Amino acid sequence: MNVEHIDDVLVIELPARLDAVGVSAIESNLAKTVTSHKGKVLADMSQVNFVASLALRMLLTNLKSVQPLGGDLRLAGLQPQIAEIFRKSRFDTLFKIYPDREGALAAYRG
Amino acid sequence: MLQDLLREVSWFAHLDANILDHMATHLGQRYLAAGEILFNQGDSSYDCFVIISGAMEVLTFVNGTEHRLEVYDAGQMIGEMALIDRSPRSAMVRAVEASYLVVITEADFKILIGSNPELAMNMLRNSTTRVRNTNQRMIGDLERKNAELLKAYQQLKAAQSELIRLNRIEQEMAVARQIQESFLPRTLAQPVGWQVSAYSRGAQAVGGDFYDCIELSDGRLGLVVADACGKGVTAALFVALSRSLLRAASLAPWIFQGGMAHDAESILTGALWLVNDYICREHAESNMFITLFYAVLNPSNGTLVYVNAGHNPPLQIDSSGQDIRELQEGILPIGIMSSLEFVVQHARIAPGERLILFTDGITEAMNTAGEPFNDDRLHAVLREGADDASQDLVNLVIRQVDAYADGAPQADDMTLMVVSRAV
Repeated sequence: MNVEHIDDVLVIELPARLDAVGVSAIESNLAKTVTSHKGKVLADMSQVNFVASLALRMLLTNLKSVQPLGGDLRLAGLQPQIAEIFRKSRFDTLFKIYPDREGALAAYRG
Repeated sequence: MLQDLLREVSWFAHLDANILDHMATHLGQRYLAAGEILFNQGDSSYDCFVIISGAMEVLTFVNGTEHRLEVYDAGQMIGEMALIDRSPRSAMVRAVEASYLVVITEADFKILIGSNPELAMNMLRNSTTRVRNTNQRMIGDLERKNAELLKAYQQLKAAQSELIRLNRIEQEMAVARQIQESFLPRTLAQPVGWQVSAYSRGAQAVGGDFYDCIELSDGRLGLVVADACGKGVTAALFVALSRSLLRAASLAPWIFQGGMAHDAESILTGALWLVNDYICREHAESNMFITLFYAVLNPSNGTLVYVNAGHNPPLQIDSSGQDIRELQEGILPIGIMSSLEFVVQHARIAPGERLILFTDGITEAMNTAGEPFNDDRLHAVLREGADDASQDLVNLVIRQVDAYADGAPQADDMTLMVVSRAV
């Protein structure tokens, strides 16, 4: 899990396989990083090629933890099959989703 | 020359010069190369030896493995035990390096100890010390082996209690599985002109999927396929909770409100509101959610009123069996947002058409290369089985998914329901 700060945005690059094993490997670290940042968070999902429902739960948990602190968790770079899962589960209505990292950062700046 | 060497051996230091001369001329001598054997364990030979130069090792064999008992070097006596008690050699003796020994026969030995009581006493002392040392070493070995045995015993006991613990968990999981199976309908209602078949299999002992077929008023059927987030015990607990709530809430208005028939929309929104509200209120902190498709089917005219809460859109197959369409997606899964608005959608299953409800464990079943079965393969199987009865189509899909997985472990719970209307 790659983490960097771009301006005031915490950008997290999520790993390729977010199945049960992939999620448990990053879950607590991600929660700690996101809650200590308290502000704008962007999950770069361009590397992700599999998401299990536990991955959706992990993203939802982090969204719920930053929103009350005035922050947000946005997503970028979803591969087509991942976007499909977000559409079918309607998780696309929970998150602001951008085609790529640059678009998401520009939206945060604007 | 040999006399000088013998004098340097402490055993013989006190002997008179004439006895040493006699020994030097009479005693046999042995030269051994490194690794050469002086005698073997069990040999019947009764000479003893004094090492003039080099080193000899005393070896014994336990279960075919060589153990070195002792190493003796220049000045030390070796092999006197067999000479004294005339029993076979108790160990093997081998040269560690090139060694030079003098041989003392039984007759020589008698002369030596007879001529010099000091030498006899020293030899007795030497033998006694060796026996004592051997005893000490054996006691030490026994103590060490005892400690090892005790440790092994404790490890065995720990492993045994771990096994008992695992066995108990396994038994409890088997009971949990039975209870969970009892949450699935024992029989599926088969209205005239319709066939309803279903299958569910967990990836672990208990699963996070369920299906239901609730017999509502006016012969209507409540068709449910759901998938709780995750799998295993955590998911199974939410399945138990949401399945029970949903069934009770679906039947309550009819049973407790004077048998009055409610319209499909109010059954759906009433039951789903209750389940969603309950989970959001009571279990918000666990962030668990359930994707759930719930439809009320009126078998008399084929109308399907449904809410899709974040579940894989079911597939509707036309009467040709070839045209496959997804029902439109709906709202967020259950358990995420308490103020969820339940968007009710409508469809109609015409004669000859069928409805396929499933969970992503079917389309995301992995083969050994980690590639998913996917929607295209599912559609292909459904077309292949277009003329099959509902139960045969269920069997065909599961068979093909299993064949595709080819022994790769089942990654997720899989559930499938096929609802077919006769032509």
